[in-house]
Amino acid sequence: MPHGDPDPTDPLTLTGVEVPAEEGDVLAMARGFAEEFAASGWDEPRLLAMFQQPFYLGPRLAYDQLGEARIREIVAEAVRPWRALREARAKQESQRRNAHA
Amino acid sequence: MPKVRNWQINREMDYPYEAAFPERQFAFVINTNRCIGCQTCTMACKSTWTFSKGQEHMWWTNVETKPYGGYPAFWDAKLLKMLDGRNPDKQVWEAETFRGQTIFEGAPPHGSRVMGYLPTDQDWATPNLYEDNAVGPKGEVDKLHETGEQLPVHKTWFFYLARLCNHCSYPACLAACPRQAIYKRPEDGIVLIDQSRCRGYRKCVEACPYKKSLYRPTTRVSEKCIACYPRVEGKDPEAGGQRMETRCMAACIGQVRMQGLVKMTKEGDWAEERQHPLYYLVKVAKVALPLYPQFGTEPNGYYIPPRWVPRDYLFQMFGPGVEQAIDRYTVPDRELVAVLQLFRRSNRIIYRYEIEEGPKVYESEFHGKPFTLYDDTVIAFGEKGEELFRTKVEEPFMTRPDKHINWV
Ligand code: SF4
Ligand code: SF4
Repeated sequence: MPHGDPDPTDPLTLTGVEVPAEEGDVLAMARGFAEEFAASGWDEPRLLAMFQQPFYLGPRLAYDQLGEARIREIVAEAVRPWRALREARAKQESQRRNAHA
Repeated sequence: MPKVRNWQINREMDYPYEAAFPERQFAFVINTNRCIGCQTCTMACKSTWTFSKGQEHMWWTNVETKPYGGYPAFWDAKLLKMLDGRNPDKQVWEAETFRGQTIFEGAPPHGSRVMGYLPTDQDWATPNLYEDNAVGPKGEVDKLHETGEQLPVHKTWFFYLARLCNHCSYPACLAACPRQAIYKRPEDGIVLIDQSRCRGYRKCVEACPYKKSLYRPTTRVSEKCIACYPRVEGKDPEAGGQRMETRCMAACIGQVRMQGLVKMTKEGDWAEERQHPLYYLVKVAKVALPLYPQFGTEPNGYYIPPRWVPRDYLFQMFGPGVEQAIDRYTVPDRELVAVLQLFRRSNRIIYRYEIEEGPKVYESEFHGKPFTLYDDTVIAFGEKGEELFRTKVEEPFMTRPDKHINWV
């Protein structure tokens, strides 16, 4: 815990200092967030809302740095397999219903 | 000093006692990619075990923001620096083998049996403070800005690291205790401090590289995570004789934690149990890695490393398996997609899983690699072969209605 002004050159004192950002780091993080939550059943609007929400620091950081258009692309790519799964299930279900009708 | 085999560093190493292994070993996997830092695990533990006088500063399990923070402050950076100082530029891995000194080998020739340090009261005092916010008020100790909404934030990557005692195979706490008050249970490998033998010398606090043995000033003895052993033994009133996972595991909101009991060989490696989810994640898929294996205690907590973090940082933290683990996790195969769904569908300990194959529903590229998704079902079984639950590869999604939004 820093007692005075934190010394940014002290490798043990990362709390209390801002670390310089590098392009690309937040891109990987944004894809990570989108894909993890997509696998947890989140759809596109819900994922986009997470990135827009200012209280979710990590997603919002990526949204601010990468811009909405890029985030939309990331989200769309993340949900694609899971949407395909839901569509396949819906098709199966309607086939089953039709067979019973 | 006796020699023991440590499979995580792929070599023999010095340890103050002869090797002795339990029948099964308490072990867990934490998926850092999904941890949201909600601290529900932390509070589940706190409200169960450390809510009494003298335990105010104690967090047997905690979640810290990496690379910014730690509890106690800078615990890992300090120890890495000490190890490096003992053996400059030699703390290296050659393929799977760690060539540097462990905390046992780096111990001073006279005195302590283990290399370590005693954190100060200040180090323990303020977990998480400043970790998610870049700076506090200028020049003031342990203070937050009064109007928090204006706090600056870190502008680059971070991740949450959830930690608890690793119930190590070669516990440093046990090795360092001059009273032999610490023991490892032969049935499940849980490491406990005998409160009646402990005299509060704090050698375990100094020796544990993960700083998960803590001193309680009101009783003047040390305490540590007890792996919720009544639950693990199936003696919780809710358990009905079935073994249950610990409080911190069962409470996990992010569904990132899984704990179980893995079978050990006489030589101290994990016995092959191909359909055991922990065996699969650690030994087959190899997506879950030990935390700082180079310390040498053979910790039994494993982590799926965060895929967005620079690899040299992760290599130092989880060892040489990082690249492969992230590759496999990012574009998972059929079995891994299914096993990841076993996390937190039940609070009972899973001993075995089976996959019931479903139709192919998607085939394309993901991160430049072929990826196929199947609508499979994964089934979890308990100790006696009873079915605990079955679930599809897609998580069921539930939305709490507005009127219950803050309902507890
Ligand atoms: S993590 Fe620390 S307290 Fe726990 S068994 Fe290992 S050395 Fe002992
Ligand atoms: S409860 Fe789970 S998601 Fe929340 S901080 Fe703990 S490990 Fe992370």
